[in-house]
Amino acid sequence: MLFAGIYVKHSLLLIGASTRSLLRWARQHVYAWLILAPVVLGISYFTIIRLAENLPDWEFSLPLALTLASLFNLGLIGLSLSRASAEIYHPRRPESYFDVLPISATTHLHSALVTRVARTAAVSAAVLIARAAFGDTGLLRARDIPLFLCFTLLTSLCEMLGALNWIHWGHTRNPRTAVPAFLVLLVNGALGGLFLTMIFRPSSFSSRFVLLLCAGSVIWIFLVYAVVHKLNARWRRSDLEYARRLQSATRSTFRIELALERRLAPVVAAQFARDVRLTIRAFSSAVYVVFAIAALCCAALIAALTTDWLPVVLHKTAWLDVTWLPQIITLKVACVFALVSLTSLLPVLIAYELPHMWLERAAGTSGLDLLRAKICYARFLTSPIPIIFWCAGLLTGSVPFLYAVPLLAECLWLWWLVSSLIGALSFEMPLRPDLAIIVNGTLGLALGLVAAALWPVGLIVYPQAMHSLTARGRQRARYYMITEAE
Amino acid sequence: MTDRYAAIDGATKRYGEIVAVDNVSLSLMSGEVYSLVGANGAGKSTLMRMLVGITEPDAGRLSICGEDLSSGGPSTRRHLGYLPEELVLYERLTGKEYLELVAGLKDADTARITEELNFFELLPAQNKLVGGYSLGMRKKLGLAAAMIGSPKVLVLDEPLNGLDVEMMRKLRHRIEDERSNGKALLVASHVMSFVERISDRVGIMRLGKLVAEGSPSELRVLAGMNDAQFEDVFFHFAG
Repeated sequence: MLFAGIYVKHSLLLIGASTRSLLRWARQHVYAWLILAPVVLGISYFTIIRLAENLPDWEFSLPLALTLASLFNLGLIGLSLSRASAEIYHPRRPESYFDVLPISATTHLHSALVTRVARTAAVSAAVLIARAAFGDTGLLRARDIPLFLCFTLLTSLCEMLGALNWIHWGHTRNPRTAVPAFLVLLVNGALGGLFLTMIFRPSSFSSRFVLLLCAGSVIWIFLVYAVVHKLNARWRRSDLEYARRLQSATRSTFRIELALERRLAPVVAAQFARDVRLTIRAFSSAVYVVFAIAALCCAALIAALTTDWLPVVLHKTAWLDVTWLPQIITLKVACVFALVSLTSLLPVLIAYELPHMWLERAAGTSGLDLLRAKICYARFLTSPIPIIFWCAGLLTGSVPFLYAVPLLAECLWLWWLVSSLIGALSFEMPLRPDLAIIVNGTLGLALGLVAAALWPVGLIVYPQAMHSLTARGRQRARYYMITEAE
Repeated sequence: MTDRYAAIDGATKRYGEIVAVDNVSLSLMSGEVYSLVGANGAGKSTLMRMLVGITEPDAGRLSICGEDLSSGGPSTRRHLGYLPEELVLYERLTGKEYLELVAGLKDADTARITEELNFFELLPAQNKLVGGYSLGMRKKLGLAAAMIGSPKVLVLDEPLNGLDVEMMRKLRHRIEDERSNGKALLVASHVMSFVERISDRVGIMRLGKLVAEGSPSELRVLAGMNDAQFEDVFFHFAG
């Protein structure tokens, strides 16, 4: 009992410190929380509601719904690996000091689990809101509560199981532990998918089945918890060092400067090379997230082009009118979304680099050089997108042969327009990367979507916008370089 | 007879092809200051991290106050105070709140917090967020956190980094006081004058190996450099 009391006390102290720190962070960003977040969330919510009302009724077959839900759940687990492992092993975090204090591995696990459950509960809540928006059911019914709890707990535990095994696999490359863990994760992904489907399509399952599944899942959740607990106790000491060295390990690289020095000024090329290297070495888990979202955009495009979701135009279309065919518009819109997703990495990168910007200052770098490097980076990062999406359009047979080249030109134009605009906005609010992602993303989407529908508009906007944004951006870059974000 | 508070027996740590610590053995007695010196990458910090239990050795045995680190539970670490070379702190906790947290996790007497804050001259800044602290203040906060709970073994990795001259002097006196109170201290530093003044024994590390060990005067004799500066003695062994 005494030991249990100490564990609880230590867990509460750790959670309390993190919560207090988080609340102070929220207080520092009170404007974003109280003004911007409700506005952005409200606009997003009402836009989604409007979309949901206007879209035709989609009725997936039960097997397809189960497959999609399971894939969503497995994707959620996969995307959480980096963050969950940081919560367990806390590399370069204040909690890393507590590994030398008399705290048990279980205490570390429990405080990480609480954080994970809170994050997954937010995702579960978003699922319920999406259901309310797209379905006929209300926000929350009594029957949803056990499903909600089971999904949240199971997914949180799976994310932790995945993170433990991910680090251990990297450390030991032992397939005897990795293969069973992978199979367990697959089973759990499917089970989580089943819960999601039950939340979205309650009418497809009898109450008796739901009750039995929940009861069985409670036992299963305890079993998964026991496995996670045992693995953490057994592996923590040996994997801790590996997890901490992940970011400092030697990674493969390639000499980008050599290729670029001929085209860019050396000062810009050096910064650009650094930015690309940081991205290749995944300076933040946001790198995985933005690439995953871009990949999802591509997958959604292929799904839209290969199914009968889009209306078919029966009458003959003039050559230039092809640009407004639903398939072509969809391709361009998906391209814009993917471009905006990848360029969302810019604010995160700048926030990461700001504390080290004394280097540029000491080297006499100008604000314009700083800005140019970021614009180059945005263009380089997104450069594969127009080609990939154009290829996807061609391979699915959705693009008329004669319009293939103009479509490539349109995609390349969208790429240049969106990446240059968001690159020029890099230094608008570097101290608030979250807000910068929203604002830059909204502006990029707005211009990109207008240009996707009517590309000459971009030709009018681009020269004027880029001229004033570059003039403003160089001043702001210089300001943040001189003040070092104080 | 003195008590052996910490023992490292044949500790080895490899990172791929690199041997960071190569079969090192040493012990820390009660009321003793043992200093580790060596070039960057010699293995001092890795050895210290193994002793405090955050790096697992590939071979060898480490114990604190007779309790084996690999088999002992978290309670083994109640005897330890550690100052890491790179200390990451909660930027949005105040200095006092951070020490209260550490004291709570160590089950230590919170009354000592004010004393430590006073000693390390952090009382005026105790209610300021750590995010606003300078490098020296952060180091002092780390030192205070290590001292809380009166651990029997203090492991201090580069304790002088960022401290002003006055605080260096105070820290030296504090280390001498802790030694008189029967504590065992393992200190890694590049400041040879400091090492020479505080140490009962000095271990010189080179490429993961402990190449020489003894009191500063013994090391002088071993090197055959009786009248030389301690820095020259260090270069004699460390190459």
